[in-house]
Amino acid sequence: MHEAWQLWLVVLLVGAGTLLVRQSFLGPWARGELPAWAQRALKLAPPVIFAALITPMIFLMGEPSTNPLLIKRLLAVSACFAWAYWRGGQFMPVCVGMLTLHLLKAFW
Amino acid sequence: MSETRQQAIKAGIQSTVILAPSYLSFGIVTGVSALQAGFSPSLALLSPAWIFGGSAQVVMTQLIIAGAPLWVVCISAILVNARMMVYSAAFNPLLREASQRDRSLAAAFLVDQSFAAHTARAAKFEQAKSRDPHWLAYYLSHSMSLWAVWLATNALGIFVGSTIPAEWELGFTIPLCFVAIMGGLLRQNLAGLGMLLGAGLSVALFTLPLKLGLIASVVLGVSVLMAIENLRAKHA
Repeated sequence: MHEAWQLWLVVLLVGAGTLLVRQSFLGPWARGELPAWAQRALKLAPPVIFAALITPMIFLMGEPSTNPLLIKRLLAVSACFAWAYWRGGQFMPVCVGMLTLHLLKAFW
Repeated sequence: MSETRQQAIKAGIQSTVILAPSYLSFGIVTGVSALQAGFSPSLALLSPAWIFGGSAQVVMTQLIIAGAPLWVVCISAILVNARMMVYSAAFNPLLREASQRDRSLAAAFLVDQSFAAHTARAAKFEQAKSRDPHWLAYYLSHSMSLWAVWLATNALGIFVGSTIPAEWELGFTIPLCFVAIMGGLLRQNLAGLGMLLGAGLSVALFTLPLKLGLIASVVLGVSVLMAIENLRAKHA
């Protein structure tokens, strides 16, 4: 467990860093443009970031990964992904994923 | 397409209303996970207001729960938000004539969704070959109302999240929210390979000391993608 002031410091620093990112090309100091290589790297980054973020979450969330829940979670994730790919949107794919998970839990 | 400033502001709020349902579960679980990380309710409320970035907030609280050193928590969360530099750079030429107040205000409320909504609107106007004098009014009303919705849904998680039964598995909507975003991204250049790299590397590097796995996976994964792009460009 951390001290309260440490957690406040983390939130303040993460917010300040994010503020600098957002203001990077719009703040009072902003001149010029992002170098081409940086623009490329940042454009390629989101799929890597999101996959690296959630994969351990899915496999390690709550119980050990040998749990029978894992296969249900993977099927729910696939349903959500497929819906988002073909039909787009944010809310509906998440609903489809949750529905899949609960149907599998109830009937399988 | 002649639209008054008032109508542009209204359209921005309408765009927010459409997005609100998908913010609901994500905001609630983000609020809940802040409490699990040991945040007091007031800090858990400051966090969405000051950071205004769901993925960075989730990374921050998950890494704190996992026991990562706090400097790794900060760097990982800011790295996750670094993508917004692209949006900032994209707005720069559009706002060259605007006042510094407008530029800073536009930057302060930049998020994926509002940038995407702006891009979609700009494409529509370009197709109709008409100018969009009120784009900033639309963008600001959309992104600022999104901020309010984000704060409200986090608050909901903080104050009533604990009454939600565990069998609902609401926590599972966190990965699902990102999976939904990834499904939409799959058509982009090298996105599928990027996802495979991110997933594989994050598992392979999971036991890295100090919970540095996320940072290492992103740096390595993006480097590989850039190398592939370079090779492709050479052969083309």
